[in-house]
Amino acid sequence: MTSPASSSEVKYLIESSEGNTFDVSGAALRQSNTFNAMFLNIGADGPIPFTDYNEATLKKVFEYCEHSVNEENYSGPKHQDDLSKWDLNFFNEMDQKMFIDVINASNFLDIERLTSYCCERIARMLRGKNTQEMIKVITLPTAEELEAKQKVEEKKAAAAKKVAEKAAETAEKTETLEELPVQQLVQTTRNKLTRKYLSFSNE
Amino acid sequence: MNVAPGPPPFPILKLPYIPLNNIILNFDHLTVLDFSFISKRCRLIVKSTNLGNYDIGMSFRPDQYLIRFHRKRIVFFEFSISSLRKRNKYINAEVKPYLDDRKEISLKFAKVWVEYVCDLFRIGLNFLLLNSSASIEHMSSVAEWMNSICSNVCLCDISGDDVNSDSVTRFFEKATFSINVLVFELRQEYEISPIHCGVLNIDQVVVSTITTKTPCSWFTVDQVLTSNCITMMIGACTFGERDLNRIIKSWISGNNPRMEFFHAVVYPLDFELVLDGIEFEKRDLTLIRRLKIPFLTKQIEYTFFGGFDIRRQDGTVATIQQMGLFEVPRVLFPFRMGVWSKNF
Repeated sequence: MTSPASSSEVKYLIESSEGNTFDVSGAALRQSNTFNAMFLNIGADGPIPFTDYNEATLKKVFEYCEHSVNEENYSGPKHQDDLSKWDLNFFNEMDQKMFIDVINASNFLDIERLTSYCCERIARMLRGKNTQEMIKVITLPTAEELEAKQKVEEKKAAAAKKVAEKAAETAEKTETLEELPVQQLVQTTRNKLTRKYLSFSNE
Repeated sequence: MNVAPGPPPFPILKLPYIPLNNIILNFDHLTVLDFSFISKRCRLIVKSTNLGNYDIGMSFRPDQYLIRFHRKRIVFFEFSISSLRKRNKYINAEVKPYLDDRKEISLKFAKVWVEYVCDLFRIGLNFLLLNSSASIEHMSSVAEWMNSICSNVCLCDISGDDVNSDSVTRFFEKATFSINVLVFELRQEYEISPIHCGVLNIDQVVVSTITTKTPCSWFTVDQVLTSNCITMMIGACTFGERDLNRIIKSWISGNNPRMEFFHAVVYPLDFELVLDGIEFEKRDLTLIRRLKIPFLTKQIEYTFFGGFDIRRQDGTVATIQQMGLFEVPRVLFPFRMGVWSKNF
């Protein structure tokens, strides 16, 4: 099934997180520097496990690799405006979750071209935005929200402290109240016993 | 081709480190700056990204661009005062007012921002662009601050339509950092008192003048004599035969030992006076010799047609010549002195 020969006809089996396997051409797979470093020279017996990524993601990544097999060697980032119609469709049809999964997989597989296009696309989304707008995009709380959150947390902490102090005070009082009868009881018992002993000894 | 932007919001900080760095590499400089304000983590991510080889320049010129990113001495990107002022709230420091009493860019404002930007982009300040009409206090403060933050700047450029000689002199009195290239571009149309730069131990000195109507008289022969430069290019100036004779004699006796090229645009010269008391060998016009010298980012080639060969005490030969005397009718002509390497 798999062999170290570098012919483009050679197919490799890829295993996804679901345990499913599918074919990828050697030429497409060689765009992954991770694959090149791990398997190209030694070959792989059986499916190559990329089990951190699901089948849909891996198929999407290798769909890109298969498509760009005949493109010239990657020579640095390309501007989004220079992307082909196919490339644009490829990126546009992904939802956000898939897009993030593809970046992660592409980063792990070290497919420079795909990683770089994805990153350029994200950079484009943020370029020209001010800090507040960026915070909204990357879903971070704003400074005001953080401040408000901190205030709420401080209030909560203060309230919790008060409750704890009250509880401690109450516990102390309860302890004294509860202890007193016991001590008294012990003392009383001791007194009774002493008296009894004395009465016995008198007898 | 229009590209629909990805669907916001997008939790990019959850991405692995390499894609994050890659995203930042695709930002422009202002976006990088804005991104750094989001959080300490964002600032760290930016600092860990290799954003390319730039030189950072600080400018106190009235054009309102405080910080400039240069690559090969060409301005690549600039942070204007207004764009930095809008972002003052993100800097945990007192940065107001941005102008001082004399309407000059406040040093406090400049310090805070230059230090933040240099730290963020992990680049030292390399270029210093000064306003020639700045006050003495301002120039002193700038020099003192520069002394405290760097030991060398690649380029110090002093320019302006008005000049305060005392301020510029004070700047050189206070400055202890070394300068590789010093450029004066003073466009004033009135006489000013000489500017004293102290001992100029600088690779290149360029004194640029705009017109020949007001030749430079503030860069004196004494200043040339107390310099140790590789190239000295002076535009239209008032040097006469006696001045040049002093400069040549001083070179022959061992001053300015690094000198490779001296250029000054002067009135037509009487070479009998220029070479008075100097041994020389007059070369035939048919002898064509070319000299390559470094000039800012480039190398310039100058051709000597004949000329007068003079010899320093250590045997080094130089050729002096006034160029273009018969080419075009003009008032001032370039005087050149090229020093040939010993292997020549």
